[in-house]
Formats: sequence, C-alpha cells, structure tokens
Amino acid sequence: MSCEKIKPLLFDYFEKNISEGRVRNLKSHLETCRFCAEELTEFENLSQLLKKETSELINKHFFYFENLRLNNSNKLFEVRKQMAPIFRFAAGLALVFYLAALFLFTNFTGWNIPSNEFQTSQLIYPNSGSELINDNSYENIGKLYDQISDETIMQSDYLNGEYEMLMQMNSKLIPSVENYLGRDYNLIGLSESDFDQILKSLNYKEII
Amino acid sequence: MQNRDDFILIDEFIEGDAKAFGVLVERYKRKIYMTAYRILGNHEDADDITQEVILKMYSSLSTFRKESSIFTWLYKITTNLSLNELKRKKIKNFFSLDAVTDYFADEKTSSPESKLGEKELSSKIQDAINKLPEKQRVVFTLRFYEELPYEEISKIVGTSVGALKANYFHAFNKMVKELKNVV
Repeated sequence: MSCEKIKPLLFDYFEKNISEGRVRNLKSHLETCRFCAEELTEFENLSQLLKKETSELINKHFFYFENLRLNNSNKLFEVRKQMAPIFRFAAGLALVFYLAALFLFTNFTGWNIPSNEFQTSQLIYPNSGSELINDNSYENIGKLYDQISDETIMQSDYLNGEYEMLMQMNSKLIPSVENYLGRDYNLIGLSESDFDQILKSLNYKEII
Repeated sequence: MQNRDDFILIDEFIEGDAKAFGVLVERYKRKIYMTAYRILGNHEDADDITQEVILKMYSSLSTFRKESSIFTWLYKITTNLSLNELKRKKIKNFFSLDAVTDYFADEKTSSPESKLGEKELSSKIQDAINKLPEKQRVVFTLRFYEELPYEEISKIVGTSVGALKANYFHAFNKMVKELKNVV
C-alpha cells in the first residue's frame, strides 16, 4: 500500500480503531516506510508526554483541590438554597423581557429570523460573511462525516481512498469543515459543481 | 457495576443520606476538576467550576433520570459550565485593555529559545491546549484525558461521532505541531 493510502489510517491505527486486515497492511508498510513510521512515532510520543505530564500535574496540584471540603461547601449550599427562589424569579423576568423584545423587534422592524432549514449555499458560499451558520448546518456537516465510512472513501475513485485527502484535497473544503469544527475562519467559496462532484463521488445522496 | 453503585447512592441521597452524596463527590471530583482544568487552562477557574458542578449535582441529583450514567451527566455539566466561563472571559477580555497589553507582550516573547527556557512542561502543554478552538479542546480533553468513547462524547457535547473524530484528529495534529520542540 502506498503512503497516500496509509496516511489516513495511521491515526485510526494509533487509536486502535482499525480492522485486523488493515493492521497487517499497515504494519508491513511501516516496516519499510520511514516517513509514515515517524508520523506514527510523533503521535505516540505526544501521547506519552501528555500522560506523563498528567500524572505529575495531579501529584503536584491536586492537593490544592483537596482543600475543597464538603463541610465548607455546605454553608454555600445553604446560602444557595435560600437565594434560589430569587435567582429563579430574576431568570424568569429576564426571559419574559427577552421574549418581549424579540417579539417587538421581529414584528415591528421587518427583520426576519433566518430559517433553520439547511441550505448548501449557506455553508459554502459566503456572501458578505454575514450568514448565520446555525446548529442545523453543523449537524448536517457532521452527518456528512458519518456517511464517509472508510469503505466509501476507499471505493471512491475521486478521493482515491484517502481519508486525509478529504481534509486536504480541496483547501476550500477545509475552511468549511474547520468553521464547523469551531475555528474562526473565513470561508473560501467552493463552486457548486465542485461540491456536487464531491458528494457524488462519496455516494452521498443528500445533506439534509 | 459502577453505574449500579452510583444509582444506589443517588437513591440513598434522595432518601436523606448525605454521606451518599459525599461518596459520589469523592468518586468524581478529580475527573470533574481535571476536565475543567484542561478546558479552562488554570487551576483557579477549574476550582470554581468544580464547586459549581458539585452544587449543581447537589441541587439536581434528585431529578436525575438515570437515562445515562452519572458521569456522562457530570461531564456534560462540567463541559457546559466550562465553555460558558470561557465565553464569559472572552467577552470580558474583548472589552479589557489588559488584552491589548497581553497581546503585545506575547509578541515580544515569541522566540522558541525563550519559551523553552522559561516555562514548565505542563505550562507548555496547557498553552498548546489553550490554542485549540473550544470545540476541539473539549473533544481532546474528553477523548484523550478522560478516555471516553466517541459515542459517550457524542451524548455529552451533542455532536455526531463522525464530526468528533474529525475534531479529535485535527486537535491531535495541532498538538503535535505545537509541541514538536518538546516531544
């Protein structure tokens, strides 16, 4: 197997989230490929470093946390119990004001709350950058990932069986993906035909 | 087995046994604290959030429906409170002049040599984690440090498993790049 085919599987192998058949292929590749072996070593080294640091951190700092005593917190519980009704009232009042403001704003200013219905163009064609990327959009791009099983990618001629290529193949896709993943990122436009071709090659019928 | 024990303790607490609550706290406080610390990046905030979580646990345990394990519930509360705290700090920093001076201070100390010489390992690691976007930070914390399966994390953060895998992959690669000089 070539490096291009192995690279996407390396992380799954590192996570022990890979089938037996692929493990054999991967191991035989790693015996001969220094670059892939190095990348895997980097994953393992980081993992060991972080685990070592965690145990040292717990030993060093956890006594700080041990100073939290339940009996001291009990006093706080009592105060909180007494204040709870006031907090609830204040929260209720705030909610009423918010709803009233929202009602007035939407009915008397002509501004419409954007629809939650997912639109492809909303995610990948930034107009002025002012669209709301809502939770449904995120959910749908997550569904796209779920649909992309290893088998689908391996069978896809366009993607050449490379999971990583999904991440990297089109620099325009990554910002969309990364925006979903939570980075503050300016979307770069992706043409409709490009995206349709990607979906077709993934046998992905629909986004919604 | 652990779940069953937890549910028994919850029932005992509801019936008025305060010690049962103490046992639950002892069982989970470290996980809550470390999760909050990884997301927030400092011990003081982690301590505050941990207390908040325990308070929430105390006030809401009687209404816990046992549809998930208690640790999933606690992780969810911890994650939400930690993210809320991060957002609150972001807003606070946005309006704070300190953010401007801190920005310029970081620019001056950007040389790798000075960083290696000055910071402890855990600070470097936490700095790298702090640079991750919030979602990636949460997923990285829950997957790597808490070793939760993706399905469990999906229930906690409300994101699909596929997206979580992508998040984690990106986060891990960023950590490798950030800590290349240290590893």
